[in-house]
Amino acid sequence: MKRSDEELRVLCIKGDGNAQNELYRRYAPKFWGICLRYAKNRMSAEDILQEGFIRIFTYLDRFENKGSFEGWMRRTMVNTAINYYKKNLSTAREAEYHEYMSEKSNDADALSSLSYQELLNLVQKMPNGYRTVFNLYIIEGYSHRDIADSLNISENTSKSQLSRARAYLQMQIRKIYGEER
Amino acid sequence: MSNNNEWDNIIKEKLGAFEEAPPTYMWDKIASGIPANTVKIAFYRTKVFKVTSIAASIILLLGFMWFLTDKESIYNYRDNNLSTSNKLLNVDKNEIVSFKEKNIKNSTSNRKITYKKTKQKQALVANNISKSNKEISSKTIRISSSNSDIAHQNKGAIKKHQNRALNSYSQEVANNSSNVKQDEKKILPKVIVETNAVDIADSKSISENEIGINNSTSVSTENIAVSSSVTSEVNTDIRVETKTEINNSINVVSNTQNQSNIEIDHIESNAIGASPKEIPNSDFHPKTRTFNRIGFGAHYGLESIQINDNNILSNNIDLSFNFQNLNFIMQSGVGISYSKDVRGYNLEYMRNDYLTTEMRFDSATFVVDSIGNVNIVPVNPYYTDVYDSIHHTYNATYNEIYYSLRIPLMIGYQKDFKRIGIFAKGGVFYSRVIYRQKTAIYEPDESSRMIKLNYSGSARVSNQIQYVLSAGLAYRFSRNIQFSGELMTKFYQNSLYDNPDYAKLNPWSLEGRIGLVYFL
Repeated sequence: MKRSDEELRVLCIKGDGNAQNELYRRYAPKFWGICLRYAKNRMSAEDILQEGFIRIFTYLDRFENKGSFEGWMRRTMVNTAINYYKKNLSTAREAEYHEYMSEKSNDADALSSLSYQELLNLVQKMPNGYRTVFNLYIIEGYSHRDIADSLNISENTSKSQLSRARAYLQMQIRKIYGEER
Repeated sequence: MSNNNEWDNIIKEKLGAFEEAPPTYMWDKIASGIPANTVKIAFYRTKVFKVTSIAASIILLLGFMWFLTDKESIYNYRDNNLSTSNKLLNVDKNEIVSFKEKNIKNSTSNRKITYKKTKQKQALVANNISKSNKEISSKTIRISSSNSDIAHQNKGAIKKHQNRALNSYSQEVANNSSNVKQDEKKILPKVIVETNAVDIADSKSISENEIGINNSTSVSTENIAVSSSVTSEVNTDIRVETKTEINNSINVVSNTQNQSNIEIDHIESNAIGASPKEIPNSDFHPKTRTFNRIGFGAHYGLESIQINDNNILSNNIDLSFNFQNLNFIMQSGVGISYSKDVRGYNLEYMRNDYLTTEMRFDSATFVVDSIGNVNIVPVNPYYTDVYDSIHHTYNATYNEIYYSLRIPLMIGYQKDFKRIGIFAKGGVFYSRVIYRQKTAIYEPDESSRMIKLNYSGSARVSNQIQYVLSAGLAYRFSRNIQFSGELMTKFYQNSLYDNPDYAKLNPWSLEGRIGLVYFL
């Protein structure tokens, strides 16, 4: 009989190893996808997933039934990923990609034709700052204000990073299709 | 903008919903890093709290109802026919506490009767004593008449009475009747002798009334000393049937003089003319004893638990329910104990530490001068700080605080000497950990990644049974308030910690405990 999330949460708080394993198996595939998007490679993604789940199991009692339990775990995982690269974000200066910004483009077709793995590879190759803002804004749906608060940067910086991330992605896609053509 | 939205939607669709199982070894890495005993449930959310709160509410409700019960109502009888006469004694809602016998010269037997006031004030009127006696006696006669019928039916039960004084009473009456002076006999109707006989014959029944009705009313007369036969009247009055008439007199004279305790202990010479001054005026008689007493108290104890050369201090607060029947005492209730363990932990984390700053550039311009030299001019040079992930280990201690619910149940023996009493008790305590709290541990900064957190030591066993022996002193400030101080020793049935290393180390403890009990 499948146990509910709440039942698993209570058992996990009590230190039930089976419940912890069940909760992990239930949500690890979803969270693994998140980790891969935020990490530059699989090794870093494993680190993020490990720390994220340890934080989840450590602070389960802090969940106050405001919103869904899955949402709380997802936010915890995303915050873990953010913290993973936060230090670099505030100091490293990334390369400029303004010149690749396209005003009009039919690259959407090219983007659609990419497989998940190809797209993931492109995202993982982004500089840390680009990738983090890109994920938060496009996938998680954060506003620039939220991103600025989370990463301790200004809103303009967030917008700039997102713009560069898009440009970077366009450039990479053009490279791929340019080579093919 | 629309182009961006189209892009965003495609990316979100491709990446957002993606799910893939992580490597199989990930769970082992995660499981090894999960701190043990992460139990931190708010106390108010536990089942223990809910059950305890319900039980405490019921106990409080019952106690409150008992307190509000109008226990005087059964004594509210009036008889206007007697309202104009002065009564010797007026004892309302009292208990016969002691019943002593002592011999006085010329073989007259007197009995000492002590009354204890419970709520209403007592009254005494000294004038016209003999008349009052007659009236009371005459009423006794009526009662005695009814008892005499019973007496004839229950003669066989006389010797079964537990009170030796009552068993031997009829014989005393017969022996002493010859010693009573003639003029005094005139005062006392001869039917009193009949009353005596009836009393004793019905002694079993009387005894039950006397003990079973703790708040029963009793009246004595001042001419107890005149003849032992009068003493029997006291016994008769203990009968419940006398209640109505006796209380009549209370209503008449209750404003005359307030008297909490009345002790009649005399006197053959001046019995009839006894003055109120001869009656003790004290509000407190340590010697007076009640059969049943119920009290509620609060106690504080400091416990030193000895285990494996460690000394753990525990602060205990109990709310108690106390019952006392003569020397028998019983105590139960509910309490909370607070104690803490100092434990160590080991935290492993990775942190991106600064290593160096490097200059980088994206492109270079090749400049060829007229001579043919080639110069490389960097374009867009920039500096970046280089960090690397460094493994760190942090060892420190933290406090683990335990709150336990405890339920004591003890019985014992208490011997009173005036205000001071000594007691010894034995029993069991049940305790259960209801809330466990850890003090804060070191948190690495936001750039760090926590890898593993290990706690040393073991958690405590939740449920405990403790066997208790206790001895102490009690001091009665007043009739209702009692202070107690005691020394307890406890033997734990289980080990304190849930750890094989402690499996056979059952601790014991010493606890100093003080408390105040209010008896109703």
